[in-house]
Amino acid sequence: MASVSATTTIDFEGMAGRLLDAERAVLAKGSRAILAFIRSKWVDWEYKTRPVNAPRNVSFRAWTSTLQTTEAPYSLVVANDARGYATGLPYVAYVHRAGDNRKYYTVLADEINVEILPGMLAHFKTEFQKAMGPRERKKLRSRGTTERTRFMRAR
Amino acid sequence: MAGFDVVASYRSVEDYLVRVHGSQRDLAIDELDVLAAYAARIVGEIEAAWPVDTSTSRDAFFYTLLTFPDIGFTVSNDADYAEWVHYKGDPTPLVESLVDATIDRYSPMLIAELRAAIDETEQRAAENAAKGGRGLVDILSRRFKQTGVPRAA
Repeated sequence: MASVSATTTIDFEGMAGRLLDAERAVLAKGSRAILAFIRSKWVDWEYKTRPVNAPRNVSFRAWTSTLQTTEAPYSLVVANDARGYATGLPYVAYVHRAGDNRKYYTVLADEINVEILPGMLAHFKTEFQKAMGPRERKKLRSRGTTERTRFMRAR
Repeated sequence: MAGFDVVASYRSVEDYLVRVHGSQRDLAIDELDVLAAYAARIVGEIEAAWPVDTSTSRDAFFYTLLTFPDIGFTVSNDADYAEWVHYKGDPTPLVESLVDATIDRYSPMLIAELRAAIDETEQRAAENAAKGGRGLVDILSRRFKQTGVPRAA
């Protein structure tokens, strides 16, 4: 598999139960910032072997993020499962800049670790400390099947 | 029991693109930025209004961008009961009320911004071609506008 999935977990001592809205908002804002950061950099690719009329920006639009804020350890997952137009296989983990053998997702992960995560975690800790105390414990539900009903809304 | 995908496709933008470009084409980066910004904002608003018990279904939201041949985005939720979630006292599933209403509220602005971005792309492609470049092929993956990258804290 050559998809990319990076998980940031948060598990401070004493944390249990569903995150409060203010705490979750920090993670939601962090996930938006990470996606925006990645998209700000995931541009200017060379398409050396791809035909002129083949799709472009396939991996750019495939970045997604999801949260798990129901019980510790809480997590923020950023992933990309873009499929090559010719092979149908995931390829993002192989992507690199011309002249640089480092996988580009690792370059961005390093930058995110320095530029975004420390601020997000500090903000999260502040919100967490504001609301120290007993919390209602909820049982983590399974998301169950991946089956989804499709609603078409042409506008 | 199922999650849901709400596909919001913008036929007027697709038609506009064909009119100004001459045929269907992929979206350029600046155009994708517009779509992504609105999709993220819409999902954020839906999450903020979503009723919460465990937060499992609220955490199960995500969006994907559609660029060819449909232009728009999909708001998805893969919690297997998400299709039936409703507010207490009102049995209307939120996928048919809150989700649609939130998308509808932003759609006019999204359409206007996307059309403006398409105009800019076409102009840049024409300029590139006039200078001997390959036109659209040379600029589809380039960003011309600086996007504001929000900080997490």
